[in-house]
Amino acid sequence: MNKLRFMLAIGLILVLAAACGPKPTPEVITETVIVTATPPLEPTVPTGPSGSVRFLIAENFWADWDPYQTTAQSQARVENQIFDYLVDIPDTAAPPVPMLATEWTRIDDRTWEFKLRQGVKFHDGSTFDAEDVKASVELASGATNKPTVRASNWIPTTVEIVDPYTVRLVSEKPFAALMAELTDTGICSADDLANNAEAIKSQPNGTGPFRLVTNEVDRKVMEANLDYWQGAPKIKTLIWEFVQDPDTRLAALMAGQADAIDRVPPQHLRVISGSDTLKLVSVTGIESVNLYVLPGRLPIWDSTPAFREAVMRSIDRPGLVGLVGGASEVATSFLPNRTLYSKEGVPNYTKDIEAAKALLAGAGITDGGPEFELWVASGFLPRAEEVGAAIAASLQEAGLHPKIVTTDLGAMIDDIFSADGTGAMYHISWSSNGDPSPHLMVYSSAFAWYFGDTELQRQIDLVATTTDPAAREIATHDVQDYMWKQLWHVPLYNSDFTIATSAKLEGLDVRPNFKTLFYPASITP
Amino acid sequence: MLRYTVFRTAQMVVVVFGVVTLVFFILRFASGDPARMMNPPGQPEDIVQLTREKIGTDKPLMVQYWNYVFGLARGDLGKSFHGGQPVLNELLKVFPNTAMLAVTTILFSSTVALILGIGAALRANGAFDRLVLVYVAVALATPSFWLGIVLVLIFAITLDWLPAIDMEGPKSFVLPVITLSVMLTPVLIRTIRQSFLETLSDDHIRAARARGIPERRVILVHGLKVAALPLVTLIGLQLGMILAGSYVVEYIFNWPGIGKLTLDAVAGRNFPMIQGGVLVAALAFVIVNFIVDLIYAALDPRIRMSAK
Amino acid sequence: MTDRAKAGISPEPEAAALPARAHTLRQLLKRRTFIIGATGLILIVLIALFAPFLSPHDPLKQELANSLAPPFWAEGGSFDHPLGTDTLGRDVASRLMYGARNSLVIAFFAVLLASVLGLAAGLSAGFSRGWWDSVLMRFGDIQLAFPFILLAITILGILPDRNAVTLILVIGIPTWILYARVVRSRVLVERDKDYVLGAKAIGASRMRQMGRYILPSVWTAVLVIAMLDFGYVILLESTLSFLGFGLTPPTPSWGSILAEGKRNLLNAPWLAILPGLAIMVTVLAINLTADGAADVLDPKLKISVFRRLPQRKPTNGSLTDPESEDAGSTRPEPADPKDEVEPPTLLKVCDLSVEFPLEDKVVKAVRHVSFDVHRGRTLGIVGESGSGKSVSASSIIQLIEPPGRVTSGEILFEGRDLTRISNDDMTQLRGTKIGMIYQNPTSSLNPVLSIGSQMVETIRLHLKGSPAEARDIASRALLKVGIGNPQAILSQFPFQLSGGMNQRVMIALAMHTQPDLLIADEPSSALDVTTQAVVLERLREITREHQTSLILITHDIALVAEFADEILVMYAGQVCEVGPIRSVIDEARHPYTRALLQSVPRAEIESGTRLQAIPGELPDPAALPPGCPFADRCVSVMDICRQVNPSQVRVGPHHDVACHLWSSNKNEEKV
Repeated sequence: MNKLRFMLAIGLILVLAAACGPKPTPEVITETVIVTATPPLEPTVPTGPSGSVRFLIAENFWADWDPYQTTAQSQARVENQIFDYLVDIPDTAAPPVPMLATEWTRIDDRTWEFKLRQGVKFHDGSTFDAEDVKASVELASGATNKPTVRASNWIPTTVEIVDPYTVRLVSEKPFAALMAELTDTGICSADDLANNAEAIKSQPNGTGPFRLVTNEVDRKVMEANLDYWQGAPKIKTLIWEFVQDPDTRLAALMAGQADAIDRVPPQHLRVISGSDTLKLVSVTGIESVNLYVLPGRLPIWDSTPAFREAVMRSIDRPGLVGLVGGASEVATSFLPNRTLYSKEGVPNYTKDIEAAKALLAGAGITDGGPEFELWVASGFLPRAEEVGAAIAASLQEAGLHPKIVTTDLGAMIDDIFSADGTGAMYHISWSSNGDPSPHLMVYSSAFAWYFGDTELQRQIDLVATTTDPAAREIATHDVQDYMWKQLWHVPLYNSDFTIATSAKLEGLDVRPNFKTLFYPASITP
Repeated sequence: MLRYTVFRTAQMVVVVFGVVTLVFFILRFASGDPARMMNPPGQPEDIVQLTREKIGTDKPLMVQYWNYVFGLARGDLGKSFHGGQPVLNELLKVFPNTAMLAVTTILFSSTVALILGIGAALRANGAFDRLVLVYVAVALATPSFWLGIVLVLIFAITLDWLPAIDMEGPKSFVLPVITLSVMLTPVLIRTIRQSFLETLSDDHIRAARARGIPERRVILVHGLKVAALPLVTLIGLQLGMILAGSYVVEYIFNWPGIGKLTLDAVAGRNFPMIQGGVLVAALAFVIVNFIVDLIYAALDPRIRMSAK
Repeated sequence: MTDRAKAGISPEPEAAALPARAHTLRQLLKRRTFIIGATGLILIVLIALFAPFLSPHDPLKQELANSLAPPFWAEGGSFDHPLGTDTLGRDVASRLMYGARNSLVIAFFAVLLASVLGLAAGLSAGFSRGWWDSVLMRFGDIQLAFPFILLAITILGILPDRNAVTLILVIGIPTWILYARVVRSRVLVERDKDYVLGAKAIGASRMRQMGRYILPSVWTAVLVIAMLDFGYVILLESTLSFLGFGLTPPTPSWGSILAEGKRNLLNAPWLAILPGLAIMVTVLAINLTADGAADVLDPKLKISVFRRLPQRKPTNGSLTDPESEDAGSTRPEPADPKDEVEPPTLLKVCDLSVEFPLEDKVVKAVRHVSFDVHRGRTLGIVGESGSGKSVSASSIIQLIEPPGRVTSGEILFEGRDLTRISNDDMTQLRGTKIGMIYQNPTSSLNPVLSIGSQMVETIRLHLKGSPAEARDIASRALLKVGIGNPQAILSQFPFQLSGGMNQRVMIALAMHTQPDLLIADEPSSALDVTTQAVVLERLREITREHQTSLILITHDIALVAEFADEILVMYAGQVCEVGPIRSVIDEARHPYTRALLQSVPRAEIESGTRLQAIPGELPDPAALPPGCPFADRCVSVMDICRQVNPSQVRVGPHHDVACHLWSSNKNEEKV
């Protein structure tokens, strides 16, 4: 019979199954797309918060709730639900809007005065006032003798209490990014910081729309804060859960076991947009995905500008954007396109293999230069392996000798900081809140990616300390021009940031700086 | 018997201790600095150092090790790097979930393997045997991380018969157990088939038939009793394979068990959590194997009676 | 010669045995499984080897514009990329072919590594049994409890260059324990077996014991596992790729394509299914090859152990089958006038033939054998091993080992032909009216059940009654066979009792239903001389007491002389001589019978007389010569002996012999 026929039969069945899979059509690159289904008929609006929302996130919860001891994005995103900020900047191009602060005035280039909102309560019932702002800002900005991680984004700032609802923030140096930093610095209770330092590491106490109820390693459960100063949230229970695998997240969403999923990869976009029970929210993230180069790992990089430009000109960046899909965009500057004062760099470095070869020849590099390692972390950025392979192929077209190393994130991080690391180039990203200074920070001398370019440092410092908007814009444009010319690193694209939700979830606020705000979102049963 | 128990217990302790020590040092020599990972990439050294101090990886290696060992003796498995939660609590919370998955899987796959293996042995080289052979080949070629998602696609999403993720109610066991069983059954079936083939050609089977014992009884009682002995040890082996495979299955089905906890911890280099997860797995493994060995001795009088 | 020619059959005499390897190869080539498997495997290996010539495209060439194109049979596919493209537009068919190389090489060496390590570990552990065994097994425990991914990060962290060698290490190492455990348990079983202990006794070193004696029986276990391991190892490689630790891209491997396929399951399912198919086909091919090979090299596995024997189709009623090979078929003897005082016939075997059709030949074990068993009498069947005596006996209770089957004749018992009754009816007869005991008593009992429980089981089956009643009956039965303390024995296990004890238990079991017929196949051959005598005495007593007929099968003619009433001498599946014991012993006619008698040491003969062994060997039962099968070894052979198979002739009262010497004897009565 039998074995042969069986094999053929099974093979045939599987092949038929493969053939009957969904028909692929070319990937569609979408701009900022918000696809909404027709809203369901509103039944009698229930009073008070209702329903539960389960949000599956893509990144580990990295920290405990010790205030200002982490700048990890995943932690910050949860924090956004539990804490409030003095101001909010929903749109980087527009001025800040009041939150815990109601008005503010610039006193001088180091001092701002804020009027605080009254009637705000912390989750434990205590009242919010100037004391809390003082304790929080001073700790966060590094103005106390307890070091914090957050302080690296700040210039130390002391707070003068004018009256219980008026404060003056005085920075040691002109601090251009103050407003932006305030949007990321959750206000804690002064009492907690002084007396409950240990307890608040696991039981955060904020003024935000949700309070933390369960603090598991990979799962945070929050409940609506009924006394929230903006009005109680419409969602009663909010659950954030870490699920590593994107397919699992999607399956959960499609099976109705999750209400929102994080970081939808490009291969899922069409499936979700084709469903009428699901919707997509896509924005272009304020995140530079670059090829970051470590100084000293590839001497020819450090010494030869032509080499750097040749690499830049070999890469087909629109092609990469096509791979990554969604709302991703080609990076036209070292500052992501949605950053304040972002400026499109000139020239825009489109793929030109001949030009690349000419540059190499002109610099006397005949054999394509030495072999160098290009590291890519799988499971971190979407389609990382494919992007790495595509880049390597392009570089090889120009005669260069890249060697791809694919590994997991931990191994890559290790190689970067290890003294005998072998990587030269790393496919990695840097995101920020929309203000230029936190983004430029990564290229400064405090970080590992600094090539000793003191002029660059000077310009970065200038941007950080120029408080006059017009002057700051000029300074920011200058530094972008400079970086574009120096090309110490290779900007590739700005990431797509897509969240998929059930059509029953309305009002989710998804921002380019990755803030995902569930207030005042609602879910219909 | 007592001597044997004491001896094995001592061995178990050694094994578990060995595993824990091995994991401890391997983690710290393998790639990935947890403090670095907890910070945005490229964060300056002084900032990262703060994190190190917080989680305790700034101390010298041996100091870390002794602290850990003394902690173990007190029942303190340390705190998660990522959120400070006590590791022991988290493990105890999730362990029953993995245990239930493991037990259900062992029962299911053993049953299936017995039926298929014995059936194949009884009709060796016949049509059924061939079918089983094809199943074994297909099952071997199917990666669990692929099968799980395909099953979810079909049964949870398209047909909506079963849940896609989580552990909630008996329905949620179906897909994970099937995925794990596909992984386990090939080895089981082949071993059972082999064992049965050999047993059925034993003299006592022939003699039993000659005494007029009906064929069904010959197979199910006499044949099974002897052939089943190696199967008992297979349970120990299965457990090892489940422990290895549950990582992937729990990952795919978001099963709140030790596997998921450990895998998530590995991705983030959350050392205490990883160590805890491995410790629990090692403990479970050696204890179950010990019990299995005891059962084997109880079942086989030849071993039970012979002086050690 | 002529009749055979008429039948058109001409078996060739066995040629000199081919050298062992060539013979094995031939065997292998005759098995379909092996051929299909090996062909598949060779094909796959060839494709992998010649990938550069066969593949339609460069596996590394990217075409971003043509990303995720479907295979040719789906909408949007083309023959340019017959199996579609991956995310980077690379041709899947080409990547599969090139991937075969990497995957097969890695898998092969990983399995090799694991099996060698495991074999060495298992052998040394099983053999040493002491602390080394404990250490190894605990080390294996440690490893099994150790998550694979951790091992991966570590090794790959230390060796960031992920080429084939590193992967072989990472993948090969985790599975050694699988082999080790199985090998170890096999070793534990084998090392206490006689042949190994024998080797030890003659001074074989440990290495030699391991290598020469134990290894051959153990390696098939390794083979089985290696087959399974191969597929598993390819999947391990795939899991590594899935976790981000696979072969450094863009090197293709089935595993990495599979991992990529999983990521694109929704929009490009073929990407995952195709490498999965490739793996499956390869694993199947390996399985089939190894299965076929293992069958040849370890035939124990080949036998289909339980198959319902096909009911015999009724012949046309004539006892002389025109297709029978031998001209002189035996016929049942007509009633002799002197039979009137003989006891009635209990069992009548007429013209029984049994053959074993194997894959490449047919073994004729029993050829046209006829004999009668009278009530209350003992018939001794004597012959060398391979003479067909055991098969004849097994045929009576219809427990011939498959694939044996009865091809002619009938076995009449109480008016029924046992070769034609249903399996259920036969099962009812066994143990109640006809009993059988075998050569090796200890292994005839289930090793994990107590004597008592086995006896109770059988007794309750045949006589009904409660367990207590059955135990009672069992005790009494044991007393009857001379076991003085039955209660103690009942709670013991077979391995705790001596061979003689166990054989007496078997006798008790067989006799408790007072069967009409008891067949004893070499009942005492496994026992020492004194026990032999005791057991046989008991047998005689108990059969006399219940008037049970006994068929005593043995190679020892002296035994038969002492215990049997009638004797049947068989050679090469045929009857040589049959008759009353004194008649045959004192006046043996057939040269074989005589030779047998001469080879037995007897007290009456003066010491100094040499024992006569019979030179030569049995003919191959699959290729029997024409003529008398004993011809080559017969001291009185004549020309006719090689050409015509002699038929039985009467040479005395109830005394028949099949020999040409007596065909022309004046004293004969031709039938």
